[in-house]
Amino acid sequence: MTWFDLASGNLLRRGVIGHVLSGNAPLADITPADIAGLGGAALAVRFDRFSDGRGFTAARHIREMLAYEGALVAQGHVIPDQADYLRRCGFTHAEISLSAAPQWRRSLALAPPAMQPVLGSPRARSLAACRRVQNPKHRDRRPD
Amino acid sequence: MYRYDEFDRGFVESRAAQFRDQVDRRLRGELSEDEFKPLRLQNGLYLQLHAYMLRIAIPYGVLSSDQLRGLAGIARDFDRGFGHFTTRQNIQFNWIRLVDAPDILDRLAAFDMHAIQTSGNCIRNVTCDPLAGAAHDEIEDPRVWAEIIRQWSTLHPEFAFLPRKFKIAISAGAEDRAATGFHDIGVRLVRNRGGETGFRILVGGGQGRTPRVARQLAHFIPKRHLLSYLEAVMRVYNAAGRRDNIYKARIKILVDAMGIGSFAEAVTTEWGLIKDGAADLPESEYRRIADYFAPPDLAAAPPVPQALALAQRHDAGFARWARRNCLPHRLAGHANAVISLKSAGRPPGDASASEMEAIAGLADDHGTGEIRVTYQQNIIIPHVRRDALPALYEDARAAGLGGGENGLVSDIIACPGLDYCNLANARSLPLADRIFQRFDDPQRRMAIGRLQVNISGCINACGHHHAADIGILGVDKKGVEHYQITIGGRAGEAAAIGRIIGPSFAGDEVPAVVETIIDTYLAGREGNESFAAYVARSGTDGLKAAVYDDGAARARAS
Repeated sequence: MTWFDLASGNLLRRGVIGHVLSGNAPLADITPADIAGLGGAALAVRFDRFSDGRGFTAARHIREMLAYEGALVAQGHVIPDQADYLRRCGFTHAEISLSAAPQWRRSLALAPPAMQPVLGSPRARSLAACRRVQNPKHRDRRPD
Repeated sequence: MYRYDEFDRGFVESRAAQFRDQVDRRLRGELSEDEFKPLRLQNGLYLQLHAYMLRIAIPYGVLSSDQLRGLAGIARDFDRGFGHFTTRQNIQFNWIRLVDAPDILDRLAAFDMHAIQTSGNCIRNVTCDPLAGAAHDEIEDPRVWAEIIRQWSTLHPEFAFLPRKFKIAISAGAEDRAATGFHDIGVRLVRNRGGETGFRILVGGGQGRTPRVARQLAHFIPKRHLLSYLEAVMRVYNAAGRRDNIYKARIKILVDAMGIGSFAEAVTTEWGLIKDGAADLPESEYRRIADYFAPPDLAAAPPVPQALALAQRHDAGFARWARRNCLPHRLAGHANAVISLKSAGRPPGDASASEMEAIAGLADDHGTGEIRVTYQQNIIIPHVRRDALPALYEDARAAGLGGGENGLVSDIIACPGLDYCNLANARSLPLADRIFQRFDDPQRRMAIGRLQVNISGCINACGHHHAADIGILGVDKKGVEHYQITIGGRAGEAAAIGRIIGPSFAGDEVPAVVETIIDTYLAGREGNESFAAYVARSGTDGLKAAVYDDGAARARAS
């Protein structure tokens, strides 16, 4: 397994994961304690099934309510077609197999531009600004 | 109407390219059917009994004449020459090949349409009052907000894998013509005491095996906060909705389980955290979208033109059509004309490619080139001058589209049923036709008056049987198609769920049962009392007795 950087589409050596949260955990159970004491290690959210979307809400909760700013890794059953959704909900990386990387890269490039402001970010842009900046041909890939 | 700008066009084009890649991977075996399924569903592609079905969104039910011609082209080139207008302002093509689907999406993108989120466990096409912007009784044009909700919900990264499908409807008329009470979220434009317009939010309505009329979640949400409020509702649902049982996964079950009070509290808490954040719409973007829905420039026209009065006097068919199918317009000299897609031998909501082209011509020649589709599976040509109604009727009749009265017994809503759908227990379409034939006398239909008959081929209730005066539900009784009858359902403002009147009937008994119910009503009604008012006043005991005592024998004999 390797880390796929959802911002650049590059592969990275697997980093250290300090804490793994279940994507199925009730939001109320995801608390500041979960992000405390990571000491630079990454936080991971584990998906049991790609079609269970609770992990997306968990990621936004972690970013927006808990104001977590470190690396956030999607683990478990996620598919390349979800790359852009993961990124826009605040994930920085997906843990994938090496052989899956070309399709992840391709799927990320094929994702349509965002109708909504880029999410998972305290600096999220307005819908109008988002439309201007997110031209389909010159997209800004940074999870700003 | 809303027109795509460069961004929107790029958006639907890239969505089509993305889907082409997904289909290629599926065909090469790189994507499992399990992983492909939600992707194809979110592009409107179902696998049915005989072929793939493609469901295309008609956002808030509005089409231009050129878009309808484009759909006719798809019917001709990729289907068997017809399309089916659904009960949620979509159009379905029932004979699609998987390999053609990406080409169809490209074709749709070329005329500003798409099939995004017409299926799957995501926020579906937003439905709306088909008379929006043309109605005599509305506070404001709800299409502006329907379009805003469409954009907000389209490929929303957090809500693409919800516990279950999610349907939103919006309306702004005194009469609720969008059945908001039967949606996961119903949005009603209202005015508060200070004169400000905003939204009353309903939640947890729906049909299916656990029918529920939506309950009020918030009595007034200011316009500027609509999207953050909806986002809060979605987040509570996505996090807490059940995923262990597909039949208990809709938001109505969560609202039942939490209680509306606790659910509302959870939403309010979540909303408090996000309400002045990025989700809400900047004023500039609201104005950009609202500008597209400026009312058309309609010249003043006489409210009671001589041509109309003359035609009504001399042509009984036109008089009937004018009375039932010409709906009031916000301007007294104009009307909104219903073109019925209900006629003998026609599955409700079906239109051939040439009929679609004829309807497009009617809109160009007699209206403003705009067409609306209704959840009752009919078409409306809005903004027609009242003095042009006789000519519109003549042209419609010449195209074979002049029959069928809006809201009468023959205006049957039906799902595709077992003829197409692999979920169905029973056929809907042949039964709709037999009931239609049974009431083939237009004078008799007029005498019966407003009466909605809806047919669903299974408990998923796509044919809205719960919301009908007389609902018919296909059930499987030891391998034989049977039908349960419900009475007293209603969409609209005082939404209600029909009640089952007793044991089910075999298919060939049903038309006579419907007739018995109607005859009993006619014998017992007071004055011009509608069927709904009659049932409200006298209950269903008399109807049951007629059907199950003397009626059953008659049904079998017929």
